[in-house]
Amino acid sequence: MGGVPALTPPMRKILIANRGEIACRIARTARRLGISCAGVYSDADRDALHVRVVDEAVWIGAAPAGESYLRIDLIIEAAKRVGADAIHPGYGFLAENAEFAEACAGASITFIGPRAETIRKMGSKASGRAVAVSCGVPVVPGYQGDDLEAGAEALGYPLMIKASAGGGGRGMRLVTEASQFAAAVASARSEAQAAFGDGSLILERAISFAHHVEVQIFSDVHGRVIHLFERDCSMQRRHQKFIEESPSPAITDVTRGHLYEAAIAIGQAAGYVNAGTVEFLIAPNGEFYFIEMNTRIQVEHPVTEMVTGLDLIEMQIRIAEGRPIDEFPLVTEPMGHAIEVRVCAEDPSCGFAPSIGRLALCELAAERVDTGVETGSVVTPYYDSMLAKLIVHRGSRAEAIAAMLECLAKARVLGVATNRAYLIHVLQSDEFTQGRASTAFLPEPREADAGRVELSARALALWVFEREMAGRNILPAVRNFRNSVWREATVRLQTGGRLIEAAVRGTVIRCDAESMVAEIDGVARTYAIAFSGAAYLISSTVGTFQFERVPRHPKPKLAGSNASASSPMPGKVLRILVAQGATVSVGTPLVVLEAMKMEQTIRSQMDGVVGAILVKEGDVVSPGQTLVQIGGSQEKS
Amino acid sequence: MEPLRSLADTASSQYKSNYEAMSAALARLRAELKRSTEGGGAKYVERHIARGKLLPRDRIELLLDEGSYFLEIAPLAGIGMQGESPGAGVIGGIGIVCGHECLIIANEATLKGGATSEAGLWKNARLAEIARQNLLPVILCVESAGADLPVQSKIFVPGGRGFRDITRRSKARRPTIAIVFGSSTAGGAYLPGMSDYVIMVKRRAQVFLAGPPLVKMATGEVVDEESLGGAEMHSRVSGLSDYLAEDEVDAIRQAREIVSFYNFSKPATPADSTVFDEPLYAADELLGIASSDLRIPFEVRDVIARVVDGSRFSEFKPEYGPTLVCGFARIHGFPVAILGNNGVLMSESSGKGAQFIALANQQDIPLLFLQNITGFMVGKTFEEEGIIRNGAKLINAVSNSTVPAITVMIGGSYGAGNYAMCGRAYEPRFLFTWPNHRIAVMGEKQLSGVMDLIKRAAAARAREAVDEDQLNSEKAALEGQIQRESDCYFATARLWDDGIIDPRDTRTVLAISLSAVYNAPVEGTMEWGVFRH
Repeated sequence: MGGVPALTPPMRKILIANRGEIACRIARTARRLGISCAGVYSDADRDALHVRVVDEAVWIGAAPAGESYLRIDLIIEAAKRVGADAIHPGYGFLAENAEFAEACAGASITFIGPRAETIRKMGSKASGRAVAVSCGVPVVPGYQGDDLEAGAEALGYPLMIKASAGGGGRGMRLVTEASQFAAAVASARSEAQAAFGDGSLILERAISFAHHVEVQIFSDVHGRVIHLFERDCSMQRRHQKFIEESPSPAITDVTRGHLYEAAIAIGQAAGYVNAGTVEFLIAPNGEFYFIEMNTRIQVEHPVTEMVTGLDLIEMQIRIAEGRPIDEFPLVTEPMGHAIEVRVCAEDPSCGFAPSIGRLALCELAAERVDTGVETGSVVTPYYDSMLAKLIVHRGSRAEAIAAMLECLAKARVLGVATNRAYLIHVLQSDEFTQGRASTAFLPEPREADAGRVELSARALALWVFEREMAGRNILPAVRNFRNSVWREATVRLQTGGRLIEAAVRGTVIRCDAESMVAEIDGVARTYAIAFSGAAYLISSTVGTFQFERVPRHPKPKLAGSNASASSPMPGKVLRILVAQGATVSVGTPLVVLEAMKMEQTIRSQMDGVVGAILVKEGDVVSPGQTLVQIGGSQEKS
Repeated sequence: MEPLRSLADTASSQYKSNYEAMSAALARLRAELKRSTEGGGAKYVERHIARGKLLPRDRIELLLDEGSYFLEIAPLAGIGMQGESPGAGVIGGIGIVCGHECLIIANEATLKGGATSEAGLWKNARLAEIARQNLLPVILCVESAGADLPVQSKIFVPGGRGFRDITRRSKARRPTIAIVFGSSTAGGAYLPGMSDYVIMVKRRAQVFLAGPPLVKMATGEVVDEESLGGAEMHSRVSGLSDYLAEDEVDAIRQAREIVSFYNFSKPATPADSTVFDEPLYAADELLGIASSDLRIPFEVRDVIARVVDGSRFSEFKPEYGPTLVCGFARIHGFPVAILGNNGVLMSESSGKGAQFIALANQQDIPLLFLQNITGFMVGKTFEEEGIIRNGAKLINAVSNSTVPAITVMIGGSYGAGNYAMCGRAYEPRFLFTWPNHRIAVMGEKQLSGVMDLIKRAAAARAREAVDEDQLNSEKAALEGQIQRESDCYFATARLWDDGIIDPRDTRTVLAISLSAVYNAPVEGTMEWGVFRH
């Protein structure tokens, strides 16, 4: 690049080539700046919130992202239809796709992000590493090449497999021993192919007990590169971040300075323009390694906005218009401390399996909530499971943690399982509060306190009976009366795979459709209750718990001697690994499902012979749906 | 209307001793009720459960709407009787199924295979009567070996009435559902045979006129039970079964589905049973108010004050005939015309009662009798003023009244007072008893004393010497016998009542009963037998 960059005229209309919370987030800034904005949507998102917060939205195809949000041609077409002069790609989907950036340029549409060649250079993990090395920034020892087997041999274990093209944990696998390597490569490759359209992989040595710290940088077309401090994203599950904060509690000011320098150097070396994030691993001894650069706005950008007072989306837009960074009021020190948590539709009691359904209730409050859903929204299996980001900003880290805990305690989501309780569990842990939590710190989901669950179940049982009575026109005041002696009335509830026979015992003091004051075992409490179908959410000072009512008159199970493997969650059948007649044993992989972009292998729970295979590749399956029937080998008929 | 002011002194020694005695009586009642739920005993209950079957009470629980009451009728029928068990092998009561008040009857399958005993027959007859009088639909949970053969002579002939009752209910547009959970053979086959809807549980129901052994005896045909009368045969071939259920819960679910389509609704009631005040006084105090020694009278208004809405009682003729307290009140919103004893029946109180019953009929208001009566006043003066003639007026009114009556035995029930206060023979829709209740033509002391006097008089006429020892021992034996026979368990065993209840439950039991009676039109009469003057 040479010469004086041309200042493009201010944008009049932006097409947001994304969905969910980030589409809503971008629209918010665009509106504030007086720029009109358009959206896109797939079949699954026709009623999504992001469609309603934009001025107009264009239907771009079927629910699978490959048929809609990943279709460059359809998105360019949509931009032309609505007359957009710029496209914001958000994160994920096409955000780090150089061809997309080129296609925008080809259509004379401003791509709000770096130049295509930068994306290509830094978006690939392999060439990104080369840039870092050229700047003298240490990189994690790794291997890039065609003979992964040999590379792994040379690196040793444990090691990480990463998608060369990727981010967001897709196609990423931790391998601790050689025997797992081949299988991990196969599944990482297919996940990478599905997510990014590129199955190439690299290997890196796994650094144990490291902190993940990343530096937000911004560069303008005039060549100025700045940093906006760092974010600590050490809390990750399956390489998906779930708690992010700024500043990092885990690094010294010296390290901090080194990271900023390194990030700026890399940005300059890459000829970077617009928002980017340089990610580092900080080893326990303080040494740091460059991991990769993300050439887009990050999910966790709000924590940076909180501590800098900036609107990063606004900066992206203005920089794409050719404006200089000097126009923005930069601070020299981060202001206070910000934390973000990702509330996801996933079930910690079930291996964090994605959970789908209609949000009968979605009450999420915080200083800032970035979300793409609301009460009534449907969480589908097609896209990622994040419901919302809750963000708090306080003077100190301890205050921020306390504020976030209060937000999470008050949050109520009914219709899908969420990681809410798990987030509380992590935020309350000593490791986290003391800032020691590394990427290796991943506590097991805590079993909900049995006494609290029981108490909430009993309160719910009381409420259920009370409401049943209230709706009755025969003697509504005569509750469950018996003149003989038989068992106590109970309501059967299920939570986290546990069955509870909740006794209907206690005194209802006040009751309406959403709340109840009840005295149970001599303590009066207020309970807030929401329900949808058979699912109930009950919140009180003892906690928020979700219960499923067990039907009183369940449909009979048809007798049969065959067992079967069924889907634990909604998803799509990626591969079927067995054929009819095959002999399987406990643990034999049967089917690979993809749910919310993550692969999950369904294994046989028994020894036997594969009977009917009831699904085919590409089928979308629902939770509990039988996939494969297995005949017992030693069962007598 | 001013609320009643209770005169009960909860600090008095009388109150305390009553309370203690009633608490002990209730402990016994609970123990007896508990025993009545144990079916044929642990062994048979366990075997039943091991077969994957639901206990009959759990079948009922699953039929009922969640939170519904279940007013069990005569739960201790048969208690203490030779060859009988408490409950008499039948569980029956009123509860709500899919918004309809239904009468549910279940065989106690773990007791002699659910076979019907003599007391069981009486109880079934009483339950059928409740269904008929109150126009309640019926659900039968059938699992019965049929008649208890050794006592067939007591059952066979009157037992036919049960089948007649089913079809008469059908004609009255109140369907009967028979859920066949097990055996229902021989005469019992007509339970599903006569019912409007029949559900049979797969591999469990067996319905035939004669089982394989009898068939072989009669015709030489060899056949197994399942093909002779199994659920699948009756559902696919004979058509006796309308619904084939996969399992017991499925059968219950189907029964509820049927009820949910019943297209009749209760006639409008005069009550707004959602808005009313609870009594001002605690029901628990009834335990100390009701006399444990029935020679000691107690104030019936203290009982009324703990039973009716807001303790409000509109008393009729309070200054006249004070031994019979009459007045209007509401229970869970339902208006009731209450007649309660405050002493022996006199000529004035009898005439007042007859007038009050006529007024209740004129206004279609159900009657509530609170019976604690030693009888009509006796003696020369009273005979001369026509106590018989005046008492007859009350009995005439009670007999010909057509509004539903409910009787609660809150103390003694002696002599013609039982009749005048709507005893069993006067067909109250429901009759419940407190545990302190005693019932007989007269008290055991009076009765044995009367017999003693008669014997002495007879001996005197025959100019024979009396053997004092023998007379005394005869007198003691008779007193003991009458005492036993006056006991409330003796009465409840014989279906003289619909059950002994905890006095504290009186208000609730009355509310359920009142709600039940309103399933049939409540219409008073202005037609009476000739009143003697």
